[in-house]
Amino acid sequence: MRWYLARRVAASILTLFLATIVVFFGVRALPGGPAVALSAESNDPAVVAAIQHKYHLDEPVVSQYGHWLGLALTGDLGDSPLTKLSVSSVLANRIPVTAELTLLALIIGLLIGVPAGVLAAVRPGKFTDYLASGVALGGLSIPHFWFGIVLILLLAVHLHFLPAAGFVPILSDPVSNLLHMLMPAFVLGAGLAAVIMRQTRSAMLESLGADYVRTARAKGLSEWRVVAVHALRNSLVTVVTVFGLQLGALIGGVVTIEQVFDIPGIGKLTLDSVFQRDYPTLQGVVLLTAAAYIVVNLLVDLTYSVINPRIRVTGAAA
Amino acid sequence: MTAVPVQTEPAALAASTLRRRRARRRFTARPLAVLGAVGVVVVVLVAILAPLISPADPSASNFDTVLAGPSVHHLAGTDQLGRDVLSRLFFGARSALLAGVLSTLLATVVAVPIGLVAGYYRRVVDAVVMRVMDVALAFPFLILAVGLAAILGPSLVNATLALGIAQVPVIVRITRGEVLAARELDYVAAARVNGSRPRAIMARQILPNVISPVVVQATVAIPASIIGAAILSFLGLGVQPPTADWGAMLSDAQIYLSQAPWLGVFPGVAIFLTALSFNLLGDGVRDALDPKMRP
Amino acid sequence: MVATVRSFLTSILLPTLAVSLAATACTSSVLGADRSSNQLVVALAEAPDALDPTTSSTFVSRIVYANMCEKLYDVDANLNIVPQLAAALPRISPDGLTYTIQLRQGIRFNDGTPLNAAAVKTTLHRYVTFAESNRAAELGPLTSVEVVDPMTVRLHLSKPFAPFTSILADRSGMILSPAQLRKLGDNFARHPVCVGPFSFAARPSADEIDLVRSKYYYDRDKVHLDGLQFQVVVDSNIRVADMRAGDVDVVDRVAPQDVVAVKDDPDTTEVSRTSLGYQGIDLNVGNAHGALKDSGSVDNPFSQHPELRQAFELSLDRSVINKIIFEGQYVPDCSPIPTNSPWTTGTACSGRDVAKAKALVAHSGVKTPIKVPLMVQAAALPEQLGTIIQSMAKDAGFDVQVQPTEFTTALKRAQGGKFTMFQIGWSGRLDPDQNIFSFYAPHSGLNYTGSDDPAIVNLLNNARTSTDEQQRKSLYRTLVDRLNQERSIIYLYHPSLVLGLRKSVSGVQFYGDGLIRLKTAQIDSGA
Repeated sequence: MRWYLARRVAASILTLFLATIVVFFGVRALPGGPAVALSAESNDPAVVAAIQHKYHLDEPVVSQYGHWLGLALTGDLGDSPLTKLSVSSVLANRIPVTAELTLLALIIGLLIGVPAGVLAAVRPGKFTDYLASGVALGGLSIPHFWFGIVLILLLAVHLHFLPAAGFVPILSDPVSNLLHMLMPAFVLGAGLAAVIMRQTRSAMLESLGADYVRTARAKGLSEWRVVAVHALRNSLVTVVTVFGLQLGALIGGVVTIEQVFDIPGIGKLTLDSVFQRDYPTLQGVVLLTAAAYIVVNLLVDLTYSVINPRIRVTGAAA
Repeated sequence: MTAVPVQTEPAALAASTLRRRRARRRFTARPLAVLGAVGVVVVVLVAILAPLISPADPSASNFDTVLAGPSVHHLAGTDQLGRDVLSRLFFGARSALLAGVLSTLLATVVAVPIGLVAGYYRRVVDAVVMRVMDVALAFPFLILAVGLAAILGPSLVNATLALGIAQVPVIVRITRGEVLAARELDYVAAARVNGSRPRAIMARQILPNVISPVVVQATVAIPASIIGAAILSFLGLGVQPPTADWGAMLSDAQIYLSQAPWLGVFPGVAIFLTALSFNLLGDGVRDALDPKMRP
Repeated sequence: MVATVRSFLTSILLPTLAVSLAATACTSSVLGADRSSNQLVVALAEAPDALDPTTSSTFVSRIVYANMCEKLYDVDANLNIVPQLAAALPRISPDGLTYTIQLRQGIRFNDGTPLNAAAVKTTLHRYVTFAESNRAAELGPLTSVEVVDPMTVRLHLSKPFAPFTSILADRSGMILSPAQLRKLGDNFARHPVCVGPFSFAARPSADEIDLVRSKYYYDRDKVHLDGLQFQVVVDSNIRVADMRAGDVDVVDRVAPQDVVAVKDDPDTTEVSRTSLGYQGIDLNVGNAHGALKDSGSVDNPFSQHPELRQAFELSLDRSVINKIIFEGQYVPDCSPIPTNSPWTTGTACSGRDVAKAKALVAHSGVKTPIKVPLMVQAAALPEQLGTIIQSMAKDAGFDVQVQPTEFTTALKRAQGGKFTMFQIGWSGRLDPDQNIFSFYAPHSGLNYTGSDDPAIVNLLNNARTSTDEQQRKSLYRTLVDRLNQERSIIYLYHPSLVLGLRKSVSGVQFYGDGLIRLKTAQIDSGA
């Protein structure tokens, strides 16, 4: 186990290192750089040259990377050429926003997904199964950026139930903060619920047919108890798996949701920095999401092997 | 459902036929899956027959009838440039299917051989390939697709390419996992001992084992790509005007939501129903191919 | 086993949630404490760049500066230049080479240090010498700043430069606190200090800027608000929805499609001004090797056959474009100078004439349909504008390929001459020189079209060096006619800048320059 852990951690660090290289060269493959974006009003060659020089963009890319990596290892992610704000402080401000959104979405996803999955699995092939499956697949099929717009139109603009968009820091007004987060979290959670429902259902189907469950039934335990105990046990595995596998999808979803609902989180920051060629910010944000993704998957693998040692940890995460 | 390539060994052939029959039975036993299949056929037909069934030229603007609500003349109303929305919806099925289905096909065609080679040869090849895929997997699908589309420049072809490339790592991983398992099967080991060439072993003995998990993945990936394509268009990284495209229609509609809500409703419903059809179909295929899912 | 799950939930989920919530709490802005307090929230259409007037190059940042960085000169409601930090308009020597500026007495920066001639000198020196300065080019002929006495500066120019006073009424006239410059140097943008009714408090992210009422402002008796919060909300309909919901008090640039909603809502209202800027189509007539290089022949129909430019223009119907895309709220025009400017030339535009356009196309001998790509910004409205241009030009024999291009990519291509047509505009300045010169001067970074017309350059140079206003006006009349013959830029319209505000807000000053001046704004407590 310890050997396995060490190997996984080493592989993760290597992956992360390679990911930073990909990002570094990838953003430079976009046409135009920060200097073009910054000198749009003048395109003054002297200003362009000065900006290039200041951000080391006039050096070979490899040496730029060395420079960046050197500072990044000390925790300095540089400054945004666009706003002159330090990338780490901007990230520190944005992470909690996205974390709150993701967590609320996860909670909503669990609240809908687990019961629906259990319901579907208890009577496979019956109406409740079809209903739950249909609704779950519906949640998976809905383009969430569109769903968001429709909800804004319906709940905020026409019915005035909820605020349309934007973000209120939780300390300044916790109620308003939650009200603002409700719609985006629900939209994001709907897609997640579908995935959780499917995972729960298939896990439940498998375990309801398993020997120990048959034994439990044979022992005369009530059906409710059989289902509840094993459903919840399974959903624990499901939660862990889904969180790992869906983190990427969640981050992807966050990009569009934050755009539609104008939430100042990581997702919006990612898109903005792509479009504004804000290299340091983009590098920082991608480093962060890649790191989060890798770390969470590592944790998921480990938790997995702790919860259920029978599961081969090396198996492909399909 | 899927064309399983003919295997050389009679036993395997019989087993595969049996599997196929069982799969078909399991599939048709699920009404939702059949409904999905019907939905997919309808969307494909709409895409193919768009020029025949569209009441108007999807690009013909008429500045005298802009933002007209649904009526007898325009069943789904007209857009901000006076174009017939229904016709644009029909033609939009083309770019949706193209970007959604083609990108997944493309990814499969590229990824399966990579996964085969990595899983078969293992060691250095495997280590290098899987490290590259891990790196690619460290970026969420949508961010990868947006980045690639931004680098390649906005067009339907580039959006399809971007979506396709973004799907490669997952399929490589699945393929490789199956290859690792299949490689240990008796008849594969036997073929290797008999001195069959690696390429022949991979094509004849291993590939058939990989097909069904890859198909299952594809059924999940197609609807996700259809939505992904809509998002790229919505972000301005998709088709070029005046090409009809559901994502682009939504992006246009967002401006007119308060005046002409139907502009935002129809394309969204179209994306939803198309993705739902593929998902229902895919769910059925998955259950049919993967008996573990059934009690 | 139920217990396991519960303990999992309580041990992992809840603490994470708590941490996340606590961390969110930390991000709360200095001012976000209580929405019901006397703080006004402004929704901006895009994120301002770094808050240092030295490097600043966005229109939206000028909206923020209007409330925290006063200038030597400002404009009044009729766009006439008036003194702000200066005591009076500059005394200009007869040869136009020296500007003597008397400063107002008793003014302090928002850090309490006094404004004086030395501060002006320090600031202007930074504007001209700072490597990444976007001010150096616009201050062009400024050679030296002389401190005449503690409250008087004299600026020396190498040649007469008519727009100079107007330039001192923009970012180049904002005076920065020398004490803060000494303290922060290159990082002035992290905490800018100028003279203004509000002072910078915090910028937690690119999308939020917080200002508080200044303790030192000379006119602080007229300032009623405790502070301002600028939030970036990119979509106009969401900005408007936020305002209607009461989350936002003032909205920057309401899109034409949303004006009705603002008007219909009993709680909100709007004020509209014609922009000093324009939107048009840049045609690549001679940008062969990049805007900074010599013009040359370009392989596209417009460069090879100048009559096709006229044909293209004649195929367009500016008023239909305005009606369809902008709800008839914009001002169709064929001049870079809007009719509400004191410098308007009153130039008459040619209307749509497809027959004449077709005749010109036939005369050019180019086989139809003539393929011409049109680069537009990748956003819904520019793409719709491109599509309508496409459909109009089709009637004259043009096959316009609309290419939505992400903005930075488009700029890069335009600068490099890798385009045929580019739909772009300019946010507009007070003096016409600043809206025309850089777009036609050879080797200028903004001369995307590669225009190199000696007559135009000559007129531009005469107009910027003339010190006689009447003479300048007549030169610009001739110039605009000449621009309409060359047609390297086909001007389409002047946008309207629509300010949305809740009716509970009063005292907002909104002029034709589109800046939102909130010095005297207040929120009725009854609302």
